[in-house]
Amino acid sequence: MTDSVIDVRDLSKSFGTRRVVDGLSLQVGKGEICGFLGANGSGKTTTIRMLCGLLVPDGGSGTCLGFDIIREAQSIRRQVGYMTQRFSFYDDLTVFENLDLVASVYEMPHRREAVRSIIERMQLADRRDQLAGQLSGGWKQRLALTACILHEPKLLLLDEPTAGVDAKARRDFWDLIHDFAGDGLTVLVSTHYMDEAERCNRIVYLANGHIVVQGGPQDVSRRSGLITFEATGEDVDQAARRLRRAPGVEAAAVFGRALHVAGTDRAALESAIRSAAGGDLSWREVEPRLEDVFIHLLSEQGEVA
Amino acid sequence: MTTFSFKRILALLRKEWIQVRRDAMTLRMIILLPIMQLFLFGYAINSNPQHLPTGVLFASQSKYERTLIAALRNTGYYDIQTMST
Repeated sequence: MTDSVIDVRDLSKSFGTRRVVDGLSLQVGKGEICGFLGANGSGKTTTIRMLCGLLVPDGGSGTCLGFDIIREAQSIRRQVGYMTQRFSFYDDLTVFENLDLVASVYEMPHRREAVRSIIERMQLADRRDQLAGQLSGGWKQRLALTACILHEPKLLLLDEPTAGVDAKARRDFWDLIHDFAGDGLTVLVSTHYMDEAERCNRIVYLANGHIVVQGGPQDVSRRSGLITFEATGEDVDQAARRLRRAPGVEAAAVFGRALHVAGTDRAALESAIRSAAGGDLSWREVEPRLEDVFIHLLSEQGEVA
Repeated sequence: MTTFSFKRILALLRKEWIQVRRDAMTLRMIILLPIMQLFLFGYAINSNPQHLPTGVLFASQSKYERTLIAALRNTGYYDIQTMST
């Protein structure tokens, strides 16, 4: 990675006595979509806020868009789009007025023109004169995203953008994100959804302010060394209950009519399946699901610590 | 602030104006509240001090001093304690 958009080392931040982010290093290249995953309170939001210069880190250093995150925070803010977790525009202004305000605050030249074209591009024309407070969740999210990209930032920071939004709107949202990335925009997005994580070029998994693992989605699941078998057939619930207690099985979970069994020791896993599972299930090996991988990595870290 | 500019302040003013215009309650408050305060402060609240504890030290007792003390008492501003050496 020659031209890193984000390049930070050993970032840390405490609130009171709690160390929220602890020695976090991260490099993100131009045009990448980097997914931030982790439980609530694992430091995702704090990290994002340090990157865009809203919070001053207690320790560590680095650059964002070539600006120093401590000394040149002002310049960073002009060039990033930060979409907050909660809707942070004005409920009593219309879609157009909200966007017009953002454009003027960023002192855009040809402001009316810019607002008109972005409304066109994001298909907000029908809602142009509707109050933002009356929009549905999906449209609010779209408005927030529009306001973030209006001033043509080079980096988008999205903090749980898809929380509380339906599946269709989420799919559309991610299509847009990929379009932006195709245009050379760098995107850093935090999420709780594993299916969204799989749409990122790179995922970073945080726990207690540390990076547990990072890499491409396939890369991460391969590196975990987790082996997963999937069974289909009747009585998967019964088999799951027996398998959960068997040695060598780390997780046995039922998804609809399929049973996923995961573990690190292939021999132990296979023998567990032979002995504990019922007869009329058909087994095949599958790629481990990201969810299983993260749970595995977390428990592994717990043992080390 | 390095990024201060009047243009940006103007943008916020415009936003505030739209919000005020749209919300009848805010508009009412802006006009009625100062009027209410005007009457309240004008009639009920008086900021003149009264009954200030005051000590007066007499060097001698005479007509002139008694006149002076009486005049001070009559203003209502002072609660006079007389002391003599």
